[in-house]
Amino acid sequence: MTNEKKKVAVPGELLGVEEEYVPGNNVYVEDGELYSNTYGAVDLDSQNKKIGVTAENKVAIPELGDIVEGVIASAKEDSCSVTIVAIKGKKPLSGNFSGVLHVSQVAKSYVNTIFDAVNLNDRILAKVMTSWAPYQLSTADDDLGVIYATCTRCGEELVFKRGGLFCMRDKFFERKKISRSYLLKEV
Amino acid sequence: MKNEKLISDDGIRFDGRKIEELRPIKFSLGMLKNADGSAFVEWGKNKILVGVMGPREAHPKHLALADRCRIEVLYRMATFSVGERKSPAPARREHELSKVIKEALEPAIFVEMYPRTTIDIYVEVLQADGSTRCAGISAAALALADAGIPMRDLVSSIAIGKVEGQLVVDVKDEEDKQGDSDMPLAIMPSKNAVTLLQMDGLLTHEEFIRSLEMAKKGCMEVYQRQKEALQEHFQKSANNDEET
Repeated sequence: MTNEKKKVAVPGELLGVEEEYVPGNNVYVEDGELYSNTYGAVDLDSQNKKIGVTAENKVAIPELGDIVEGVIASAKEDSCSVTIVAIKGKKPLSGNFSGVLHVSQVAKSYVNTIFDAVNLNDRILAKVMTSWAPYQLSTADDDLGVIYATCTRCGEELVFKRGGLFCMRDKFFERKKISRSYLLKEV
Repeated sequence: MKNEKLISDDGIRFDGRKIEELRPIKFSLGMLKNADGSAFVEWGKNKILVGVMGPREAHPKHLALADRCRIEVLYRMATFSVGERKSPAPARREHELSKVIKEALEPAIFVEMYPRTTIDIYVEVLQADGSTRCAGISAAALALADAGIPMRDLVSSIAIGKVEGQLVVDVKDEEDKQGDSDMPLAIMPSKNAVTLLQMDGLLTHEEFIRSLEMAKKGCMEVYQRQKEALQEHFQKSANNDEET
């Protein structure tokens, strides 16, 4: 970073008029005048005549297309409810959001019941498909799905082995929609 | 105290201020780690800490609003904030001020951007010395800005009082208690829009018009302090980024 002082905008600061600039990020227009809606550094793109503000802090809330981490809070045959605990690329949440994962959104291929893909207390990565709570989620992509799970019989951590999730104690495989970034791999 | 004059004959108030002079005001930001946004203000002897959490999912769910975000304010005076121990139970006054502060801040926030969520604002008065609602509103505006919540404008606030027949800016506790009138005003400075106007006591029409003028001037001074605090905080975090 250079030492030059960047111009700082505060909420409600007048940045210019519509005839001068195109509104960029975090700018709102009222009566033909451009105002900042947040606090941060002003960026002026003089080539495109565009003025915006880089927010110093951003609100952490799930938005369409965001990848979120969640825990399965309850499950029934056709859908399960998910507690969203974190959003990829955003600051830690000050409260959990609720999401819903329907059996039709679990994988690209046909899944009979939710229990063939996830189970209670599994940690999953999912994509946000709607704009408000309860957020509809999808785990159809390869890097989405279960990232951490325990054995439904004994509670032992499941390990990724030969393309499936294996319980070392009970010596059996559990059927899951596994994310590419499953946390425990066989050593 | 009762028999002492609050304003001397040459127009100096009992704490040494002129009629239109504000108390020293110092805002600071972002000192709380666990809140999404925070601000602290030392406004004369007032010490007020504000924490903002959210937007987050509204609980209980039936209170969520389908088209906008719900603003929830909790104004609280610490038990040790006033001379005589204040009961820790929420008083009628605190409920009222919570509502008033909420209504003063809500027009400045883009509530329609986050439907079905809640933003919680906690105004904790650690030490009170008059005009705490004004100091609380001004600090809460900064805490909201620190949380990154989109806002139309900051909100700046000040109170005008009538003491011994004279209008004074930024009412102190003693002036409020012994004075004839107290009129807090909150505005969105760059919109020139009033978001809070209350009046306690009696003012003539002319006095009211003059009070409004004086209050607007006072609010602009508070606004300058708020802007300075934001700029200072920005520089500080920019320097921290450089070091790491």
